[in-house]
Amino acid sequence: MSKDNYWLRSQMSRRKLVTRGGALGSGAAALMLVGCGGGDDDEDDSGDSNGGGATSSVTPQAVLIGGAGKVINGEEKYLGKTPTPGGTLRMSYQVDPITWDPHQTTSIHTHLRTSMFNSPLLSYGFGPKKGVADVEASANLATGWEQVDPTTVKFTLDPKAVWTSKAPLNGRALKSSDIKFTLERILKLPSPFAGLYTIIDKIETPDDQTVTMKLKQPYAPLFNYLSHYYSQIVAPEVVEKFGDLKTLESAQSLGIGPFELDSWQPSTQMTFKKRANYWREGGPYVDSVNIRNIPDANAVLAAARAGEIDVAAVTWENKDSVTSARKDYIVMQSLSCVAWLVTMRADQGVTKDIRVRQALSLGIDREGWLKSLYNGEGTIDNGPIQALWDTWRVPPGQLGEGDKYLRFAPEEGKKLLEAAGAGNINANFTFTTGYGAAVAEHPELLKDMYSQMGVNLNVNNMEYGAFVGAVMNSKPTYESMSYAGVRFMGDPDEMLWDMYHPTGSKNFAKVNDPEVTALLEKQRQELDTNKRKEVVKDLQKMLAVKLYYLYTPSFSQLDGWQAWTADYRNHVSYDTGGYLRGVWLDQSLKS
Amino acid sequence: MLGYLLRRPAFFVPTAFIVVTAVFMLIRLIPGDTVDLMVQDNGYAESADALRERLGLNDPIYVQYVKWLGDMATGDLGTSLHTERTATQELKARGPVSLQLGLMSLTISLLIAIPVGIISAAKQGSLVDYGMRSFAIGMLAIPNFWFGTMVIVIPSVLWNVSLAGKWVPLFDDPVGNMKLMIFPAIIGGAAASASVMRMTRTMVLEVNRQDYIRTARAKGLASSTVVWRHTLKNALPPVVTLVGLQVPVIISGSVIMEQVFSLPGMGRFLLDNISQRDYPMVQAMTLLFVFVVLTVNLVVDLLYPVLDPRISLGN
Amino acid sequence: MTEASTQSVPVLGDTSVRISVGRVRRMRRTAFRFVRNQPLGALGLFIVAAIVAVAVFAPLIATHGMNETSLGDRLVGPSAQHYFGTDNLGRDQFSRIVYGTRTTLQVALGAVIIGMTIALTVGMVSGYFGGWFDIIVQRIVDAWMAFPTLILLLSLVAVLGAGLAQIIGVLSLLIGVGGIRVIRATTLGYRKATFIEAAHVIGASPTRILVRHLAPNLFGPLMVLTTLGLSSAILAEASLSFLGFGVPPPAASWGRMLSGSSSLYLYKAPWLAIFPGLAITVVVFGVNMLGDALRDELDPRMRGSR
Repeated sequence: MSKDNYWLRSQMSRRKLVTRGGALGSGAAALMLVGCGGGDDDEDDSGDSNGGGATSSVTPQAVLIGGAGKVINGEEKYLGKTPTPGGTLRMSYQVDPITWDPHQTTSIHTHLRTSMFNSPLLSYGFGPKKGVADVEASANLATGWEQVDPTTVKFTLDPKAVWTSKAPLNGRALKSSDIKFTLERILKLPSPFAGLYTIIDKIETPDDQTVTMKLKQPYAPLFNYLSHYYSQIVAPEVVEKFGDLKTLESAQSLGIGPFELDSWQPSTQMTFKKRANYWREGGPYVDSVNIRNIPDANAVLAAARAGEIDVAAVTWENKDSVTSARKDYIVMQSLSCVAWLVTMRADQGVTKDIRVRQALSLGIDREGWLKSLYNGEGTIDNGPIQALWDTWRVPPGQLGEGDKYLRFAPEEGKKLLEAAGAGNINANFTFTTGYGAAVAEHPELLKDMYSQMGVNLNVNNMEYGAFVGAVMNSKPTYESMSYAGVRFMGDPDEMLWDMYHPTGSKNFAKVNDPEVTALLEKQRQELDTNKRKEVVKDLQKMLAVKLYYLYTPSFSQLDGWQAWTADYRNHVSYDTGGYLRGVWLDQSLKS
Repeated sequence: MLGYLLRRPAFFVPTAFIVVTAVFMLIRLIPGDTVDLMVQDNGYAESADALRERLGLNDPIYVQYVKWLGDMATGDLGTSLHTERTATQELKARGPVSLQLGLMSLTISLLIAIPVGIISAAKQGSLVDYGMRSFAIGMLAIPNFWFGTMVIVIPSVLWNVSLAGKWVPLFDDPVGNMKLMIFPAIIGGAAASASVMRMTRTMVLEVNRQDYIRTARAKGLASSTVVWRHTLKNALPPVVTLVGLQVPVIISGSVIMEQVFSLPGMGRFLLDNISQRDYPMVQAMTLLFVFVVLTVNLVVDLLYPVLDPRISLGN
Repeated sequence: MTEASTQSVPVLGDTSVRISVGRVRRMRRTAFRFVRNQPLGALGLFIVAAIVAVAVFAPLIATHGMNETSLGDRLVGPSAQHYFGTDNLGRDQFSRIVYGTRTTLQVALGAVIIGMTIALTVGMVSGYFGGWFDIIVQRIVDAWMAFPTLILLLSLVAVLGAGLAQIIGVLSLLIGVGGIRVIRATTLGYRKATFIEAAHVIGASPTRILVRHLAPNLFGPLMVLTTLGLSSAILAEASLSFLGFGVPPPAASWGRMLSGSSSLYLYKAPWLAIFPGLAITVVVFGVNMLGDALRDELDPRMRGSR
């Protein structure tokens, strides 16, 4: 495009940003690889849950850990005790934040840190009584809301809510205009997540305590999206003073959440201090949180073994190395919110034919996959609603006709391919090594499985940036098949709309199916949760037959923390401040 | 003498000029769509065009070049796209860490290389010679990141000791700092010692063949006296020039060591910026590293006649 | 590196290889002398020969297929069945290392061959003709040598992207430009040699002089540069793999084996890291020993090259 075409170019890329709303899938490579929730940015804890240990025979329902999580090592002896305040919580991180502005990046390395001092309008509940994937919006900055009519929602702010006592906010009360300012900032920038909020037509602030949102249409996912980290509320004074929120100084001036950013030495460590004037009941208990920058995964393990950090995620392979040194180290298993999937162009080539896609599904040995890659832990299905959201998903066995395609039946698949006139497919398979060593094994295994069906995959490895350009955007250009990871954590809408709606930001398969689109629109506007669940379930059954994406099995990730890190519980929401608020250090358990 | 001293910088200037130009070209080699990615993934600007503007890529290339030379001349090495900190600020924070690691590695490499070189030359052809050379070459042959990882993992497995992630500034806690820095310095230094060892050995062998050493021996001077008094005096000056060659090797090693041992130095900063596509910082850091090498070489060259009076300065 | 060290690379003297009828006999004598004088070099030669043989006969030596998975045998330690154990897909590590020799050598040899071509061409022309071309080349080489290897590789790979071709290309530049200086210095020494002058007098064209008369005499330094280039290419590829910029799969280079899944299973399955690490160490050691010995034998005073 020529240089003089400035406006055209500029607007195009703006539009691209807006349609990428919630496009977690196209963030930095590390973004995808970080587990769900962010106690620790262990890049390697996503796909590598394999290794020794007992490899029990896997049946679809055998391991239903779901989002609740299960402690598989150690004992939570602190449960039920009264928290004792004080002490420093020590954690580690692998990558420095790219920017301190939560609204101008898709990088969770920013969000994990800024959510210590920022906080969304609503919130999920956290703590040992809540699951890792419990995503039901509840009070936070707002004490509650009222659905005035299908397109009007009224929020009432907590009168106790005050900002940090540091300048320029000087401990002033939270005002409804702050909420309006933040959401308008997200839409105006636009934030990469702006697409989630474009349905908001108008925000009114009748008084300092009330926020009224007028919507363009009924929007069931709104409350979940307002609980999420991408809508962290910020103060206009700070944005005005610093121009934007990218700098350390601006981050140090903010604070509506439980902590405030005290110091940051890049590549070394950052320290958060408990806010003296924090306004919600129940925490924070620790005086400070010190997070050291340790990029090497083995070095993190060494620190956990030595008891020098209080929280460190582990993997199936290396958990023994920590628990052998620290017998009481708590290891919790839960299903991951990351889905690894085979994407196939639905608009061109052989995969346009439903029979080819079904055959390719029959060619995946899902139980073999679980055993060889995931230590036999997980479930054979993982989509379109990830297995950990057991309240929304339809498990295998209840998918009706779709159940057929979860089997491993290469011979049957071969017949289907022949029927479609596509015997001996030689498909280009676009992939990136940017996902890391563990995931690089997935295509190798897949290639091996497909060879039994006469399907040959030509794996084409791309540099991560090029891969994003070819696959992970709303206008993919890859030729036939690809393999990508997506991570969801807000609302079922996020997992469906983005990937299946013609305007979806993660429609890597270029799906444009009127039947699917109709159900997608319907679930968005259905405000009754139970009725909406039914729509979502119908949609899943439909997609299990149409198979626009082949979801590979879900895997169990492991979180870990020391026996004394009391009431710690990771959460998919990346609201670090939210879930560290309740954490305290049980000195009686310290060894 | 004066002519020599003037001639050295005369070589330094065109080399530095080429280096600056090469680093300037580097960022212009970036494929066009990368700028879009930088906008999408990192949000470095509102649009690709705004980012190009910010990077100064929209001007004609000669304007960019002149501006770049001007910036370099005034010490403006660029500003980070994401932190908006200047390269100079980063250098102040991270330079000392890398400098400390580099100096420690260099010292260790010389402490290994020179004795090993002298002894293996003195015992040429013996088992000691073969053993010591094998050791020095062996240290070069071990992939340093692998060695570093083993140094972290093995003590952890055996004694439950954790090394990494504990960096503290040298002047805040010298003991704590040295405890962590000594391992990467040994690994980096040992790996870099091979070439100096080779040079020392060759030079000692060569000097030993010279007439005046033979004469000294013939005069009945004890063997060790000969080595210390004559051989080293004559063999070491050329070895010193190799220190200049060591610097790039040590810098390369430090990048890896800073990563493995979580040290907040410039090498790791460069790596982080590469993965974040913060090209102005990549450019600045590359340039800084190269200038360190050039400067060390210049200093070594200027010192050379002082160390080795035999060198003919007129020519 | 600057002129001081350039000057210290001297003219190849009377011990140089001359083209003569007794060449074959001489070479045999040289070989005997080499083993006697340079036992470490002979060891290096043995290692290099062995590794080349492994690469050539990989399918005969390997006990399993390179990508043959066996889900029942995941992360099994070394045994009679799997000499070096298996990885997490049940692939035989021994066989993967054997096949990995091919990838590793492909990268290293590819880089060295291209690099040596660059070094020979530019070095000879620069040394033989001198003049402005020489001056410019020298300054460029100086500038290039000022870039720390890894920094240069990283910057280039960061800009060009990681891929087999890019890595070979960048490594070949690395090796080639370093070699230019040595080839040039040697050429300079020969410029006034009798047989070159003679060729000049009988009216041989410069191209003919360079190709037919000069190039054969550069065999010594070329061999030294080649061996040292191989070792730095293997190590550089491994370092790039560690930093995430290495040879992409499905190619299984040792560097990738060492820094890929093996680092994830370091505590559980240390053999995944130990054997590829040893393979790199042994080969780089052997190549270096061979290079040192060749340098001593063919060109005792050549030094200062990296």
